[in-house]
Amino acid sequence: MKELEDRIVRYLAHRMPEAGRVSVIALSRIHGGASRETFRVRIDQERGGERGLIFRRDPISTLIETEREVEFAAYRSFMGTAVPVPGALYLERELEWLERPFFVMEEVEGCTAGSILAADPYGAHRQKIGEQFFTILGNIAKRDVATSDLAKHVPAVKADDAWQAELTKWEKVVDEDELEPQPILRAAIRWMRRNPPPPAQKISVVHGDYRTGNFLFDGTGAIRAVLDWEMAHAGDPLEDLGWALDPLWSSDRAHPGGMLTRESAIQVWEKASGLKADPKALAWWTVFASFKGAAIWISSAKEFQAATNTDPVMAFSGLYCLPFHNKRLADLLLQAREAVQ
Amino acid sequence: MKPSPELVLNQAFAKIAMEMGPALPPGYGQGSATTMAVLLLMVGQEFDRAAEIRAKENRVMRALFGDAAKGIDGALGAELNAVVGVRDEDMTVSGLDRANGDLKRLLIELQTHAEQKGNRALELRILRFLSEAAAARQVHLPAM
Repeated sequence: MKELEDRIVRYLAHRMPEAGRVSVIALSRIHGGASRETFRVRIDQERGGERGLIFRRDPISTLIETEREVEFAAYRSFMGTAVPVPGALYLERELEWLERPFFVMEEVEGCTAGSILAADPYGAHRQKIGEQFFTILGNIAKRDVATSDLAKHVPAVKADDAWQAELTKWEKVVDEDELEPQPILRAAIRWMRRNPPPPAQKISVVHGDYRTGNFLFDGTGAIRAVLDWEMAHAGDPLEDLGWALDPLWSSDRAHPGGMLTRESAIQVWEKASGLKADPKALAWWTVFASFKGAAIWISSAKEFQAATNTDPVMAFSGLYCLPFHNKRLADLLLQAREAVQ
Repeated sequence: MKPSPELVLNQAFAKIAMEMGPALPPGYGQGSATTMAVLLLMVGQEFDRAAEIRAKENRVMRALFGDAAKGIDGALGAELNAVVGVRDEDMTVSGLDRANGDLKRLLIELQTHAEQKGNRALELRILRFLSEAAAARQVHLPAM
């Protein structure tokens, strides 16, 4: 850590000369966020006093092939809006500072994130956090990609093609990363292609991983920051809704993410977004959510098996999350087939 | 094998999750210790059941293929018939996994065929098998 600390001091002296002499008071790596190494850095500035920063450094290997440019642009797209995000400060592509590219954000202090394994991650604040969570998601759905910082970094997509673009992208991940045959995922892919959803009501920014664990809330139950935007893209806003409602995000299956009931969550989202959660379309995106999850877990299992990323969360993904989504998908496919004569 | 591997791994989980992890400073080390403890718990669950799960899946798939082969000609029919009556001989988990992988490749072909032919009964039988097999492979964790 000492070498990293020295490198950070050198970098900040270069990047923030107006702060004068900078020293690191505390440096620690944050658990989670297997797609990037995340460090909390407390600094003391000669001019400006103490300040908390977050450094997100590219790992040697990633859970998914992500673009730091996309994540940084996503934060920039929502700074100062009704979607709370940390201030995105600097993006560094040069290797001279921390050996790998990274970006720097303001630390959102005094907050915590929920855990998908917690029995009741939000306690007394469940209702309040749930209403904010799905309202914020509705606000994300209002954001047009074309006028955002993301426009330069994500491919444009048409309303009738958004589902296909995502399905093709994640099918490729399964093709490349599966360690053993996946009959449930293959059946899901065929089902999704045979039963496409209606065209998207609009194309908006899609967070791509909006769920419990990826936002920070404070002691009053106020959501202070939405994090982990590395899978942000242009797409159907129902994609995010289907993902947020996936049952993996809480051990309380009746309350997706450990917050509201599914019905209440959809109502809050519809009111905030001004869009309708068409049942047929949402049913498709519900299947897609579990499929995409399974694709990510397959990818992480491969990384762990190949020892290219031995973070224990990669093994956890393969051993716990993949069987969960396999079961979920098998049940959804069975229900769909039983419903059709 | 005594103490049983499941017991050893459960005790290791408890030691790391309840004693060693909390003694570490909050952050990456503590979080990783907790995750590793959970991994031990999951592997403990898997140790006792892994061979049985795979052997049962393989047995059920071969029986399913035997029934389906009666109505299927050509290369697929021949592939299905070729595995009917076969028994697993390598009972190691890795050996059963290899046989399981081969059978699942064939299952994907058979399921695609059933969908193309509109063979609803066969589709449902395969989906029910997949749902039951997926349920058996799920890992159950206590809320933490």
